Amino acid sequence: MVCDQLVEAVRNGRVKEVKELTQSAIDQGIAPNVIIDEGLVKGMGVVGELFGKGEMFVPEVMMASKAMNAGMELIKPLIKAGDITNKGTCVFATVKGDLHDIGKKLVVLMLEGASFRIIDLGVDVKPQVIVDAVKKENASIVGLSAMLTTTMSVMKEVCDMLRENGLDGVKVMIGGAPVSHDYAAKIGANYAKDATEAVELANRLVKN
Amino acid sequence: MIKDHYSRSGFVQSTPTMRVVTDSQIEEIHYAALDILSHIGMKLENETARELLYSNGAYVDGSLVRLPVKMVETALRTAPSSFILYTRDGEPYIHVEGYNANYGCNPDNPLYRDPYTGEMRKPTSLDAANMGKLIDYLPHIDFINTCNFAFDVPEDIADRVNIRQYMFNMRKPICFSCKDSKALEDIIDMGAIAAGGRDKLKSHPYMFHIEEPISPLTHDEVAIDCVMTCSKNEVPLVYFPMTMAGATAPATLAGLLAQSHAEILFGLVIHQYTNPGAPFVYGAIPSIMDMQTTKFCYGAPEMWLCASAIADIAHYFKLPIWGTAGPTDAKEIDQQCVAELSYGILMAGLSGANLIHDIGLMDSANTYCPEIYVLSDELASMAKVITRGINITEENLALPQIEQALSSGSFICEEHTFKHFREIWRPQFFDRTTSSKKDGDIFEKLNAKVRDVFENYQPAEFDPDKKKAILELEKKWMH
Repeated sequence: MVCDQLVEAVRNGRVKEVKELTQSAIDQGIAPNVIIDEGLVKGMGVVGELFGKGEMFVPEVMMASKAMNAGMELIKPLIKAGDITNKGTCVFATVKGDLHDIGKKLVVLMLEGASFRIIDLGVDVKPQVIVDAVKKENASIVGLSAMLTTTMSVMKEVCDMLRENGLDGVKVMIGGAPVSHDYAAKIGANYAKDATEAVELANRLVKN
Repeated sequence: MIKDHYSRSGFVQSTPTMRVVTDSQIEEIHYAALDILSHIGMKLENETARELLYSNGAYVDGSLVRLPVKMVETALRTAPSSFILYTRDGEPYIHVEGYNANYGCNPDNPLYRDPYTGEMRKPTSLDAANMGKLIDYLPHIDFINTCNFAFDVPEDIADRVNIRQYMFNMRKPICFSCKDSKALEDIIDMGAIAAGGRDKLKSHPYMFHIEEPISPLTHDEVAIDCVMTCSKNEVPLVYFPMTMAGATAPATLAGLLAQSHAEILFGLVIHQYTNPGAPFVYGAIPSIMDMQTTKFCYGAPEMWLCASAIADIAHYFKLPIWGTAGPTDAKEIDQQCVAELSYGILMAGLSGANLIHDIGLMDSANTYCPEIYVLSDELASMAKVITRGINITEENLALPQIEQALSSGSFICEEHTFKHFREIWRPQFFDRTTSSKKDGDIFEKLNAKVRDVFENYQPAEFDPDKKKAILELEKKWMH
């Protein structure tokens, strides 16, 4: 069945094959949400499980995600924007004064693969810009990254500013070499020590 | 008849060395780096530096800077091939040049294994004082590289507080990170007090500074500020990328080296065009991202291999070298820990890196425990036996002694043995007893040594007037 083939192609990161199979599924008249749920997203689910077990590696997850997105691009024109469900919208940034972003990039890619919608504001981002993006995108999660002890204090500023703007319901997750559980607790945020934990954390935060 | 003149013309005495890349491989890496610098370009987020480079012939487009080859070659020509690091008390201590290998360690990373309680806890500036004493004591550790973690003082000033602790408790040269160029100026003032003035500190450097690009291809404002400040003040500067193959550098090692080399050269150009001839140290921590855990790995064979390649490249260009050995990804002093330390320490020594840093950190540099420095000192002493090589002299060929052995069957009672046996390495901690007589657990021995040093070792006193002057100076930033 074409959806099973799609799962396999996504799992193996075969971009061209996913595009062909998605188009074939569309041509066969299979409903878009079935192609997504039983094919594309299911494939990423398999990937997530295998990665969790240590049987797949990050570059393979990235390639699978690329393949899935290639399929999604073909489906998007066929359905209303509101019908594409995702688990939640997150605004991500490396805080002001800091240009390090490889960890954040990895988390963003993994979260996208896990069906989150991510607005990545980049690096050296002022707290006000983050808060404005949260309001504009109606985000439920903010993800902050810092590599330096001298910039991590900006995370506290962001948390304070969210509260001052009545955005208490928005959950903040933080990561980076100098931060810790303790620091997160101190500023009212949540901590993940690596990208895998970040995905688990984001899943937990949207459930609550 | 005794012939007392020994002559051998054309004889070459050598010590062991290791090359991992040939001259022609280095040249390929270098030409690739020149392509990166002149064709691809790099992001330079520092306006002053951009203006400096632009006015000297660089191509600037927003924050993207491309360097013509002539600027790179000029910088390579003006960078000095050697300098001396002095002790706190003004004695020449480390000749940073050639294949002269010296080991250094980090005395204050984020987590500290308390030798008294076994607890993994946040370190304080009091721990820094103890670590200063320990490093002063250890004979094969020659400098420190402070990362400034001290959780009993505000983050903003932890750098200067820890440096003061090291100055007060240790004579060996200090390599430091710091908050920004303003803190850097404060630290230069501290160094100047020890040296006897800023000019004296220039001619007798006791401290040196590290900065890093952000791989791939990005150089940030604060780091470059500090690069230029070091250059102007002739504080020796290490500019070194820490790359992860597959994440912030290509997954293939040749590409990783080309990128790292280019990033270092970019910093070198800014540094040398700020003040030609200011001392610059070339180095990198060229490692990998583990694609399962997404962690930067220190205990990776690729890291040791590429660190040796980096040393080979620096030797080719006759630049002083920042090497890397230890740390380990292990979480405690176990089999993994010792294997990773051993590979790293020996390879860095054989590659002739001049300032080999990061000795002895655990858990991918998150944790430091004092016992590991003592262990690393033992491993470094073994490595030095190997890199000292075999010295062929008439005395050492020992023919008369061999002749007497025909009748005696032994060398044990020979005066020659009495004269030379102390040249043979002996462990301080490793066990050579017969198996029935095990002399205590090695970790316990290491721990006992740590406590003994912390409690009983008195490093040479710092000049009381200079101590007073430092405490006076620091009123500026202590609240």
